[in-house]
Amino acid sequence: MVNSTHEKDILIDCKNLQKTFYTGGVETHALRDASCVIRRGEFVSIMGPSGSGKSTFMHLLSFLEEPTGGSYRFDGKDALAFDRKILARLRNQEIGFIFQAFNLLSKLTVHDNVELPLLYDFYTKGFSRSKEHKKRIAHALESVGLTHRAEYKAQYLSGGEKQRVAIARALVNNPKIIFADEPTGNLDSKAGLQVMKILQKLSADGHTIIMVTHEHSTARHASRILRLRDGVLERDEKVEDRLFATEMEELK
Amino acid sequence: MFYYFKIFLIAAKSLMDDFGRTLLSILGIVVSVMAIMIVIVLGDNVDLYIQSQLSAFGTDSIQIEVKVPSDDLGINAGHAVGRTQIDTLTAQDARALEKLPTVKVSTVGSIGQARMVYDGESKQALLLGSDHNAPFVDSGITLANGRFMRSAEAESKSHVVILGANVKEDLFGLRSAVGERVRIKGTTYRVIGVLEERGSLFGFNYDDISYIPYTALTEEILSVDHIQYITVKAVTSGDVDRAVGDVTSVLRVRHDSTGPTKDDFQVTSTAQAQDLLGNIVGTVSLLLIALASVSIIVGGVGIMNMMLMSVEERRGEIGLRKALGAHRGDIQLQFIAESVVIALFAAVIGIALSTLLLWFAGNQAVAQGFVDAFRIPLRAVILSAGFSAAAGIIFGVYPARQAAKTNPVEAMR
Repeated sequence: MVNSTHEKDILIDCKNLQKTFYTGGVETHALRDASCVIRRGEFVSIMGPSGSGKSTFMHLLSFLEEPTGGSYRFDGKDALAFDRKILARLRNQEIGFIFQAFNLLSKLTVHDNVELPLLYDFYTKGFSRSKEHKKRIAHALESVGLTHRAEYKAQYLSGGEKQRVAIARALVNNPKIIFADEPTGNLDSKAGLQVMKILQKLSADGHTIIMVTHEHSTARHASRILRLRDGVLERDEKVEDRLFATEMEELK
Repeated sequence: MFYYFKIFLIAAKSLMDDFGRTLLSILGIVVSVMAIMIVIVLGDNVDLYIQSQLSAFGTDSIQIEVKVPSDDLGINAGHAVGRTQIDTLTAQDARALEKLPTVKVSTVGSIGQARMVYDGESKQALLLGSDHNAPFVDSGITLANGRFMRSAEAESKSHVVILGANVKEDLFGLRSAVGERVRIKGTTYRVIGVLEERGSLFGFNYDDISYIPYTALTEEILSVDHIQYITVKAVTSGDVDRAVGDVTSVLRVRHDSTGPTKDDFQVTSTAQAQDLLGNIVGTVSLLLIALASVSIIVGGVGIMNMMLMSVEERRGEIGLRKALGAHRGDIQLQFIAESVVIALFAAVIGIALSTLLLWFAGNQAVAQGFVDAFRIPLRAVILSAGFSAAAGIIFGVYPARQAAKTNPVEAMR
């Protein structure tokens, strides 16, 4: 990285990140060595076969787990020094999650699912300002094209719609970065493409996105691919033949 | 406010998800809430009943009973120590008290038993030796027929009797009793009155009592020259405390007593008696409430058990909430809210069931004439609901803390 990357442009800067699990006296090195720099606005895929440590890597970057070694700077600050409260606030305010299994609360409506993160900024911002929240929920639903489904219960939606609700939920707090864990893994190809289209649109709008996937075709929607093998970040490459979901959809 | 409202809404919704299990887990609390309700309501009604019975004597009544002089003040040992006869209280004392400016009227009394015979019918009769003032002191004495004794009759061992309702019933049946003659311990008495039905207090049935002149009872039947008690009425209810003081001073002089431990009499106003009995009932029901409250612990453990199961099952949901930014406090509050909602739901059911039960029992008791009135105080509802909510909070804390410790990465599994 000798190029002219400005300090302020760097969102994630990790060096020799490690994660070792101890279960019943057995050590498991889920992640041995991962170093990378991710700038604001990038759309990065993390690839690797199962057991390569790609999920663990994402969990560390997204503050779901703490590393057992290495260093991690997030937005210019030492992330390893954050306490539990700061981490909860970061997950709430700066990070959006998209899961392979959607992870919606099935008994709640689409609207209430999208509202969840807003509920939890109580401690950060004091009493909720419901007027602003309504606007944000409406905006998030609009951006994934699900305004008309707002009062549906999540369990009655199709897989593609569920994932779009999850994206709206990830967007509602206007996060600095979106983490997507196999976002198309549980979807058919059409619905998967629609999700990729939305992610690319978000990327074009300036959102930083990190996506974990094991499918090469899905990974190629990003602008950069990090490849892991046996817990080591082996390759960091720019995507030369990037796919764009918009064009592909027009073919159908 | 919106935040807390949402938390409770979430809690209520999750409980509806597994309604059957929620119902089972609240059984214990429902039963304890019912127990608490029943204990409080019954205690309250016993108290109400006692107060209403005592108020027949009026709040301006003062009772003077004989007592064995004792250092142990406040407890009337007069009847407890049967061997020691106190023979110092006399009708002259009563007449002396009547002269006090704070005392309006005074009546004497002694209790005895004797066989009463009429026309071959015989009955062991409870006799109350009294004087003409008794109906003015005890408003519960009302006549169905005839009249009460006169002053001259009371003082002169006249052989006249006023029959209790049950006594008249037993000896005369439907026949008229006034003017008839009965034999009491071999002496002929003329029936001059019959009392109205009155009911009983503490298992003591007023309707079994017949009144005769105190002189006849003490001198002829009991063969003594003293009486057992005096009842006086203060001029006004406001004078009661002053009257108690006056009565005590006069009796101390007349009985050569130097102070409370030397007194061979005990002066008690109706208000004091009500207080004393109220305290006894209050203490007993407090004890029972405490016992019933212990049972709520068992119910609380039932809720805790269900909450712990629920936390295990919902690790994914909790992880997701944490991944979306929930603090430990948010999760803890959500789960405590759930157990409070369960406990309050249990309280509602328990209160409804026990109210139904008590209402039915109370109506029966009133219909059967055991009591005049039956009430379910709001205090019982508030207290049992409060206990229940407290159990919800206390037994919700542990599962809620377990939930709050959930690692956010659980959302990924």
